[in-house]
Amino acid sequence: MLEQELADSDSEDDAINALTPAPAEASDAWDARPGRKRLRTGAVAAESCPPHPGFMHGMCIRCGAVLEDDEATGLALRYIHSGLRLSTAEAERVRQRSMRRVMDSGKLLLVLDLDHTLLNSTRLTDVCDEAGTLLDALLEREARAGAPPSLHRLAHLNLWTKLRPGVRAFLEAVARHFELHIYTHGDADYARAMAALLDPGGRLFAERVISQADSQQQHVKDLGVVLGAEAAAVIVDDTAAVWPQHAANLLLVERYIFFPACAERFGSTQRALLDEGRDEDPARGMLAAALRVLLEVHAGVFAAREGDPARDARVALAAARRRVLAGVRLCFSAVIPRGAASPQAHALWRLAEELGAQVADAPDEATTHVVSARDRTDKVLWARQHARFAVSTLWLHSCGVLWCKPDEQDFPVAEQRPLQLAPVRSEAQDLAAAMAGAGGGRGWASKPL
Amino acid sequence: MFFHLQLEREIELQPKHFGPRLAEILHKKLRTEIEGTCSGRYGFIIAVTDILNTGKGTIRDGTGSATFKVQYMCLVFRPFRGEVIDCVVSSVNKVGFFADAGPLQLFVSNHLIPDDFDFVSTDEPAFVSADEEVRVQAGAEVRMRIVGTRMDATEIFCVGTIKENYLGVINPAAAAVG
Ligand SMILES: [Mg+2]
Ligand SMILES: [Zn+2]
Repeated sequence: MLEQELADSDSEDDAINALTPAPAEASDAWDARPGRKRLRTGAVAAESCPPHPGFMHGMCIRCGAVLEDDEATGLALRYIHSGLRLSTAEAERVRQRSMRRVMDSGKLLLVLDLDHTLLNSTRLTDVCDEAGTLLDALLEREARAGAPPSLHRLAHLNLWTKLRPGVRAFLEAVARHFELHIYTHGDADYARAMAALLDPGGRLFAERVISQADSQQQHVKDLGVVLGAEAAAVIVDDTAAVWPQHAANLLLVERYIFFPACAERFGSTQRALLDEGRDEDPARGMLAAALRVLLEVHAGVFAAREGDPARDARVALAAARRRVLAGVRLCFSAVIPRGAASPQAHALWRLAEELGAQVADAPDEATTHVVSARDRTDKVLWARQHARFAVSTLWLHSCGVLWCKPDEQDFPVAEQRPLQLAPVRSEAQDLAAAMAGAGGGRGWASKPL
Repeated sequence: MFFHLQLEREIELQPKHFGPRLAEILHKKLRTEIEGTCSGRYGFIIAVTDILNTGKGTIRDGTGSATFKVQYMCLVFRPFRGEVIDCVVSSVNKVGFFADAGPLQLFVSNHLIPDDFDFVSTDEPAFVSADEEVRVQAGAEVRMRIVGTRMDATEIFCVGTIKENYLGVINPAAAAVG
């Protein structure tokens, strides 16, 4: 057998004869030379191939058969290994297994975005001299303070990176209840560098760091690659548009914009925190709110028994959302144009209902809040007369962002002019800006779409 | 499996080396060029053990360099299907684990890990036996059987199994060090 293989290998060398005969099965491994790939079934561990569960560099991971060509079928898992692909059935099997494993250990899966969610990065060259001086001073101040710094200057990546205040405590807290994944549209080098900043011990994320090249489609993130079952996964991201398939799993967070270049990119009227000379309050900011919701979701899922449809992260997330304004009955004033065909379709109406509030066209006995864009409307006056809350639309926005009911006294209806809102941008524009900001604006993602 | 082979290679030398130390430089150059490389035919060339014949150099027109046909003995490492091999686990994930045997990288899928092993990811990712006695985790020494080899011109990759008698972790102590 070995001799045959060698004979037709146009071998000019006697050297090869020095190879002592290998075990019988070993002999056919010989023809794995370039250009001579044949499909063979394995003698060693023919469990139930085909179908082959997956391939490593075109070789079955169960029976060792080598594919005729490098057919690109199934799901590529480059973040695990550059040559690894799983068949659709195998990916589903791993997904179900990992859901059982994670839930048996009392955890859920958490998929975390990096840019504007856990941190904010910007290129060194995008920082003007004035801001650079401020950053250098902050860097020095944090170094002197001795605590783990939140600002980092990464010369090898040409980046400034600012961690969102409280992010390390947030990760420590959620890691007790979730298996953590990073999923970013930045490149692999960037993802690894950020994971190292967030998790210096490497305990929280292990190999579960997914970057731009791992996605199946450009600009789309996919739970498929995470190998996480949808019923057990929660996503925390600042950009809804990258998760078209998984809106029900998404906890959308307010963007963390520390560097001026990033504020410009999103065209927001909100200034960058650096420009304002302040930072988010870790106790009251977005991450604190997200942590509260995540713990609520976790508790909700595990309170439901096996087989109960409520044992689903998506159901628990929606339920947590509906509890925000449970018991509130509100009506709008000066928000929805009079005579609008379907006021229920208005974004704020839908938001209120999503948060569990009842919405009525006109105030009645049970009304608790009047949400108004202007002061002294009939409905606002009615609210004052009847000792009900009259609040600005910003109050409702805050409820939506922070998943709680902030103090109504902090949101009085605007005195004269209507609240100035940011220019309306399309979802596509927003997505483009988020992509441009991925990885701090390095590489392909920073190119205009 | 290791083999002691006689191979041949052409080595090019610049004229500045033509002198009393020519043979020495030639041998040194052979070693740096060949040791640690991987050939799709023979496997990994681990070490040159002996130089048999350097032949007469041929001067190349134009450059003045000379090429020598060097015959040498070397130790090669070539994995075979069916071979049992000892490796060190390098990383573990939910799909399986990776291990190294010297320069060779191997992968064992969770299909070829005994059924009573479960993947755990609290702390260090590992496949752990039902009685929690055995942990396949980074740093552990594992004995596996090679199920398939993929050899390209410059790379060899193997898939293996530990789902057979006498296979699996042989030195858990190494795990603590790793
Ligand atoms: Mg983002
Ligand atoms: Zn197979």
